Amino acid sequence: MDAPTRMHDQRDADEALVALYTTHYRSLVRMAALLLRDVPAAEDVVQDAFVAMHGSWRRLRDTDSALAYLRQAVVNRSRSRLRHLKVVERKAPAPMPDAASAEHSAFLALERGEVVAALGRLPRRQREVLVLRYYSDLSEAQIAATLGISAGAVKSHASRGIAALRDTLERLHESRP
Amino acid sequence: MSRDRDFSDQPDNRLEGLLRDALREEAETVVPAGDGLSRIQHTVQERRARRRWLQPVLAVTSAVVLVLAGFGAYAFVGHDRGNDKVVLGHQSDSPNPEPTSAAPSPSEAPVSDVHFPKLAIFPFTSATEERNWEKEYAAGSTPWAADPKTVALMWVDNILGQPSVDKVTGQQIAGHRAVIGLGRVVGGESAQPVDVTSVSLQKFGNAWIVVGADDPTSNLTLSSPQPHEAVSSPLTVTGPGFGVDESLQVDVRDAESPTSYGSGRTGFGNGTTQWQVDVPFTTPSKAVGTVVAVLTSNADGGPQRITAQQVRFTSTAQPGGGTPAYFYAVKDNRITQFASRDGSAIRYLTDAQPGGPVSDPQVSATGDRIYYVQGVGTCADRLMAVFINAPHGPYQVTTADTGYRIAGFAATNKPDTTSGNPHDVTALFETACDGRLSPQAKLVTTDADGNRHVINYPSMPPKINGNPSFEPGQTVPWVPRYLDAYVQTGMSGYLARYDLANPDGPTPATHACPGFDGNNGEPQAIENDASGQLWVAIQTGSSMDVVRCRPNAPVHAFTIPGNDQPADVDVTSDGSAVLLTDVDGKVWRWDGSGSAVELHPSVPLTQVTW
Repeated sequence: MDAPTRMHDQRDADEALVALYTTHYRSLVRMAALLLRDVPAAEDVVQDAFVAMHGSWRRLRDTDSALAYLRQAVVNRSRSRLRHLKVVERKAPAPMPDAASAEHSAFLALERGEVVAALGRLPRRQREVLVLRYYSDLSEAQIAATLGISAGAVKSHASRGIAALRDTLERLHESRP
Repeated sequence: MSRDRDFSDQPDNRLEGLLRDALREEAETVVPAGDGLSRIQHTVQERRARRRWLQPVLAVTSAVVLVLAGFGAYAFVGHDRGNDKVVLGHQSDSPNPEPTSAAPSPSEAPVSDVHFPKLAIFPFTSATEERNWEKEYAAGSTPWAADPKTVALMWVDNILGQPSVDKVTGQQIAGHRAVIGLGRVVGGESAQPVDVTSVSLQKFGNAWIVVGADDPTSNLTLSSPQPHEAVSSPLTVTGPGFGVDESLQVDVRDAESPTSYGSGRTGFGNGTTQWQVDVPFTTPSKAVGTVVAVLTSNADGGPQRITAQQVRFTSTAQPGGGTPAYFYAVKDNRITQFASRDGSAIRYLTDAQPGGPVSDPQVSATGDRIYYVQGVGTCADRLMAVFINAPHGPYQVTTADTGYRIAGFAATNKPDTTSGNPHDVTALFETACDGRLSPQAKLVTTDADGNRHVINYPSMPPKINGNPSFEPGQTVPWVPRYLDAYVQTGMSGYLARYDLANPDGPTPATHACPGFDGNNGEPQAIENDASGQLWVAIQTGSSMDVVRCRPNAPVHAFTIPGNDQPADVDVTSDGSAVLLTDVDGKVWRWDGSGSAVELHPSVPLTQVTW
């Protein structure tokens, strides 16, 4: 690559980095924090993702692609971080069967913190799908692209995740005095 | 987003709604440290520097490659330091030869606007500041020049304290002028943002500089003062009326920091032809400031319209002479304003407070309210706050946990009063009302989002004597990481620094004032200024001394001869003036140099603040 082109790329990358940081850094840290349940680790993961995005800017070229790249990098790095800690799969319960809910209204009586805690006990894939779906507001296709899985798998993980969450919350509600 | 189109075959909407709300609420509690961009840039800079070293290493493998690599390196490095608007790193460590033909350095870059903007507000208010920044920028030691959108967003978030206004709703950039429309989302993240303000910027050198902000609907305008007008306290701000049941807050602020010198509120509408707000404000330390008018949304209490313009201050506090005109203390069990000149009482800010004695007034970091404890010594005491220049009365900030009382506190706040949520940040040292209760004391800190952190003191000592003091946060003052306190460990004690992110128990290993020699006297009161410099009042046995700590060894500030015992010390945000009281209620004022002057209030004052 000639020097002027490289220089132009660098400038674009630097400017894109600032623009994407300004617009998306906070929400990405929050997404990572929901996956990791550790804010400093979430910040590290997102910062690493931004550095990687900056280095890959020549391939990405536009902010939409860069944002998708960032999301994917954050999810992957969060997963690596959790794998390194070797806690998530050990703590995860067995997948729950799809079951109809009997007491939806009971959920409303639960604290939101309990919902988040229950989410944290879901298997990794289910948790990722639910966070991307219900916090990041991504479509099925976007989640599939971010996680590198099929749309059908996204649907399956979402369905199982919701069912497992429902079951956990109902049991929690029933156990209360 | 297409969330309503996908997943349509998954009923259970109530659980989904709950999950969505729970995740958003949980996410809102996550506040990134604020130094993310600089850390990312630093890493990028390091990588780029490593890449620069690679080229000459490869070059020695071939003479032909050597020539090409040398040329490439020159082109790469030379152009990096030249035309790039975005410069990441210091280039002088480059192993490549200096370029023989000069590409213009950033400091030599063509100036987009020959004249520095007369109405400049942020991030620079003078050409000198901008030029100095250019030099640092050229050396790679400061972040790169931002685009106008980034500058506008940073200004509204960090300086005006309006983080909810975070959506770019439009932009017009023509030559060296730009107008950036900013808005916020009302009623859920997927809703369309509503316009709140249009930020005008001008380019000077490599910098985009905010020169004002207007209401996009042109309803909220200022008739007086005029932009660039010289003003003094109290400032009367007026504008044409409009609307129905409108609620307006006007602040006189520092141009380049989140400091509010004073604020006022009014309501208007329903045919009002003109609104007016009187804003008394403390003597600024800088010559240029901003008048900011924020109209509050009746829908959710958030900012609906923002108008801001530059003003100049006719009298400014000079270094060493920044004594505020007023201080605050308790008289007749009421929070009261006193004249700094002689200690005479000026006006009451509250009625006589019920529930027992009132004590420990402390002006907030934003300078717009005073915290105090109501019902001191009782187990029904409360931490309260009252606005200095607002018509509404005191509000309760927090209480000790059941069975405990407030023995000392520190408080600061996020400068966002327009949302109706004061965002108080507190640290309470709570002691048990009952000697059998366990723990006997605890240090409870609560951040701006309401998150609590507790350090237990199973028995006393150790305990905190007097009030602790927050060190201002490194990024923004209202996200403090450290809390300083005098911790009594037995017959003696030490100045401790609690790391709120990594608490290590009631007796932290880190000292808040490294180098402080307790043999010279026992600390009796402490206070941090806005730069994080800790001020300590000491009883030596023959005098009361005030010293300041950090960044280096403690430095003596002034002495009051006599075997008096300090009760309180309070320092202005810029550290240019200090109030000291003793346990008998005598008050001294120190103006940054020379000897302290004793004031003569009509009643003894042991706790003071300014």
